[in-house]
This record gives sequence, structure tokens and C-alpha cells, in this order.
Amino acid sequence: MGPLSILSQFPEWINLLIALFIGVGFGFALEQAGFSSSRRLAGMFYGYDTTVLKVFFTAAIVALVGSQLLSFFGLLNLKLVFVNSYYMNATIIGGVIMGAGFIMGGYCPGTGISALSIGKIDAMIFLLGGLVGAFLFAETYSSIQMIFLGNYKGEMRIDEWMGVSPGVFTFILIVAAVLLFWLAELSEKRFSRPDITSEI
Amino acid sequence: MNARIKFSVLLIGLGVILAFLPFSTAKSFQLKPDELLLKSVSDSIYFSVDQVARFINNEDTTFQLIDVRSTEQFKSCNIPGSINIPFNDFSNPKWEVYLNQKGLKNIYYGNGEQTASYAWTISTGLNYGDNFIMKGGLNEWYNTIMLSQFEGENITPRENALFENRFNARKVFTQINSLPDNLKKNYFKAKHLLASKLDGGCE
Amino acid sequence: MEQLKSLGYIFLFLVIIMVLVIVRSINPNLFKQDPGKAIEATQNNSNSITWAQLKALNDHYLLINLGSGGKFDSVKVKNSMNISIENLLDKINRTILNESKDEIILYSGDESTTAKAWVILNQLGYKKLFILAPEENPEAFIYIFQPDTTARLENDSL
Repeated sequence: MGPLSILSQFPEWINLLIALFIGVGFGFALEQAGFSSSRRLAGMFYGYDTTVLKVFFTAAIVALVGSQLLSFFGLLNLKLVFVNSYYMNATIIGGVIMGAGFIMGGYCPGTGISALSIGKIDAMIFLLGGLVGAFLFAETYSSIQMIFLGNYKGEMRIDEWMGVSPGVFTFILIVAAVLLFWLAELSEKRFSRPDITSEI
Repeated sequence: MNARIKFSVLLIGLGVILAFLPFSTAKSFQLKPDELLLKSVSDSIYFSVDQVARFINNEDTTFQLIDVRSTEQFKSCNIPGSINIPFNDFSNPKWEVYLNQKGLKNIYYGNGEQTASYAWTISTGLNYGDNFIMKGGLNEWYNTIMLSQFEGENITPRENALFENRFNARKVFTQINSLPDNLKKNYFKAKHLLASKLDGGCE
Repeated sequence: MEQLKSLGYIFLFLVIIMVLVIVRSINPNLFKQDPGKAIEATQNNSNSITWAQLKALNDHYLLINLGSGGKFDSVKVKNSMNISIENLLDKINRTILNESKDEIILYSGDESTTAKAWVILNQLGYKKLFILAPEENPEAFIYIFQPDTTARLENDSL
């Protein structure tokens, strides 16, 4: 069970089983939040449906608050938690490509699989496209390696970069989240499209 | 007052508590004070210079010698095979990958025991792997391995083994430390490669 | 009414978390410092006190000998007390350390013991904590290594 310091002695198969349950839970949560609907996902960009923002931001904040509290009480060893290496070029270019794909296709990889599981054909094609993209990346890696590995910043954490403690950063993020939720509500009223339902 | 407002109140309340957390457990020692003290008073955290000499002669790769002196002192002479982590730079995150290797035992040494003991305590407190101290430091190494001679008429087998151990370690120390700097590194890489080929194992 | 009740539950939850946080913060049996501070304090021997400086303090210090088994080891200095290293964190001794307003100076016959005790106490938050410097610098290299330029590796089989 990862870096939870009280449960560090589990054999490999129990870790994998727990990972399976967590995955099942995640898929279930995505589906019941309605993320298999490409209309709902695209609504984030047009402003008429901001469920994506609320769900994912809430998840991030629960994880942040939970990990900070568990670490404070000595139950979670934050040093063992993986922090992504930050390659600035790759992140920006990848973000642009993914954003374009998201608004065009109406899915992102995780929600694409969730939609695939209920049998949607457009999700199937979307994921196929994703696999083709990954294949092309691997094939052209030698030529794009320099761009991909450029501007390496190490394992950056925002709170270290800002020079504040993780607790203060969590508070700032929570305040930002509450403001954004309120703005999202306003946006839904302003850009509402009653003709688009998330029925499918 | 709907669910959103309740949820926001809960989150902001937790955020305020977190913003005022008095200390960061992520950076401080992972062990409890009495656990750390218990480990410190045990004799099993020390290796004698003869034991370290044997590890070097056997090219035992389960141990990692860590020299906590400054870079200049390390360059002038060091125990072959050791890596240099100057104690002044100990908190630099780049050393964590060397200090925290699973299955590898760290043996700290300085000229005496003081700096090595500081390093041992911090490393053990942060729960980095298995840590040990070389008793007496490099001064003791020099005194025992480099300078000791057998005096007397008859030598027992045990004494013979001891002196042979010291003599081999002395040879390695002198030869490696007499190499020009750029050759020192290459030498040990090559030796390890040779040894692993002889082993015939998979790794 | 219903809404106030659920808000009440939220506040109750927050109060519980706050109490747990406060309890953990005042727990004396926890390391709370940043190890980097300990490393900084040892640089340039700034955590050491020489005999001359000791005399200058005019008995305004708490000198502790860390000999084990309740016995002094090495020199017994005037105005010093013995706390065995094994009993360093016992309640009585912690009280003595907490109540001291002066500098706390550690020493023993074994520089390794003193060094370890210093780090542990430093990380528990004791501020005016020092080590009594021995006569010779323990970290000086007392030998000179002479490189043997005639050594030829290829002639010896190692």
C-alpha cells in the first residue's frame, strides 16, 4: 500500500489487489459522475458544464489535505511519494496537444477508457488515435529527443518554488478552488445550453 | 445552505489548520528519539578497521564506504572504493540516492569518529538504510593497517591471517592512492567488472 | 435547523482534528527539527566550547558527562554531573535539561558518544547545546600519506 508507513510489509500480490480495488473505485466514480459523456467533458471548455473542474479539483484537494494530515501524524512517509520530473518543453507541448485533442474528441485518456467500457464507438476510435500517437512518439523519439528532454527543472514542487510551507500552499489552493467553484457556477448560468444534454 | 457551502466550510477549515501546522514531518527524523538512542548505544554499529580491511580485500559489494571529510582531504588520500559525501553538504538532496539504498550497508568514516558519528546519527534518524561507523576513523586505519608490523619470533595462524589481511589492504591503499586521479576511478570499475565475470552469475 | 445541525457536525470534525494536531505538536517524544540545522551548527566547530571559553562562562553552565553505567568516564570536571547515555531521555533527565537556563555542555571519554548525543538533543529542540572540545582536534589527520610512485599495478595480482 505504497508509502503508508504502518502498512509497509504487505506482499506484492496484496499491493496489486489493493491497486485493482482502487482502480475499480476510480472507474466507478468517473462513470457515476457522468464522465463517459463527451458532451459533458467538452462543456468544460464551452462553459455550460463545469463538472470536470469541480470533480477533479475536489479530488486533488482531498488528496492534498489527506496526505498532509497523514504525513503530520506520521502515518505517511512523504519522502517515498513519487514526484514527477519537470521537463518544461515537453510539458508545454504535450499540454497543448492534449488540450486540442480533448476539445476535439471530447475525451481525455482516463475518461476515454471509462466511455469505452460502456461501449461507445467514438471512445474506441479516440483511444486508437491515442495509441497511434504514442507509437509515432516512440518511432520518432530519436529526432525529438532534444526537445523532449529540454529545460529540465528537476522534481519541482510548487510550495518549494514559492518558498512557503506545504500547509500554507494547501490553504492557498483551497481558497483558489472555492473561488473557482463559485466562478464555475456563474459560468454555467451565463453559458447554459439547455439543448445539450448529457444523456449520451 | 446547500452542500457546496458546507463543503467549502469544511475545506477552508482544514486549510486553515494545515496552514498553521507547527512543523514539517517530511523533513525531520523518522525514528522516535528513544529508538534512535537505543541504536546509538549499541556496539554493533561499529566496524573495526580490520573488518573494513577484510571487506576491501574481498571486494564485498554489500558495503559502501562513505568518507565524510572535505573534498580536498578525500583527494589527498582515501580508502579505496569509498565515495565522498562531505558532511557540510550532507543535507543536499542529491546524496539521498546514495545514502538510501536498499540492501546496501553504509560505513561512515572521517579522520576521527566525531564527524562520522554526526553523519551516522542523522542518517539513521532519517531511516536511510543500514548505517555503521568505522571505529577510530582514518587515523586508526593508518595506525593499524599501514604502520603495524609483526614483532616477535613465532607467528600463530590467527596472527598470520590478521597480518596478511592488513598487508593486502595496505597494498591496495598505497597503490590506488598513488594513482593519478583519472586512473583511480577507472581502476575500480574495471576490477568490479572482472570480479563479476569470474562469478559467473547473472548480475 | 437541519442545516445548522450539519454545519455543527463539520465544526465538530474540525475541532477534533485541531485537538489531535495540538496533541501531536506538544508531544515531547518526537523529533521536530530540520536536520539541516544540525549540520549547519557543526560547521567550523561552532558547537564546540574550548576549556578557555568554559572558564569564561563562570560556572553558568550545565556540564554533563555521558559515561555509561552511572559512572563518570574520562576527566571528572568540577561542577559536572553524570547522565549515562542510555538514560539520556529518561523523564528525570529531560526535566533537568529542560529546566536549565544556561548552556548545556556535553562531554565523555568517547567522542563518538558525545557526537551522537549532541545530534539527538539538537533535533529535540535544545538550543544552547555544545560539546566540550578535547585537547587535540579529533578530526585532524595525524599522518601524512606518501604516494608510492613506483607502484605498478600490473606487476601485482590483487
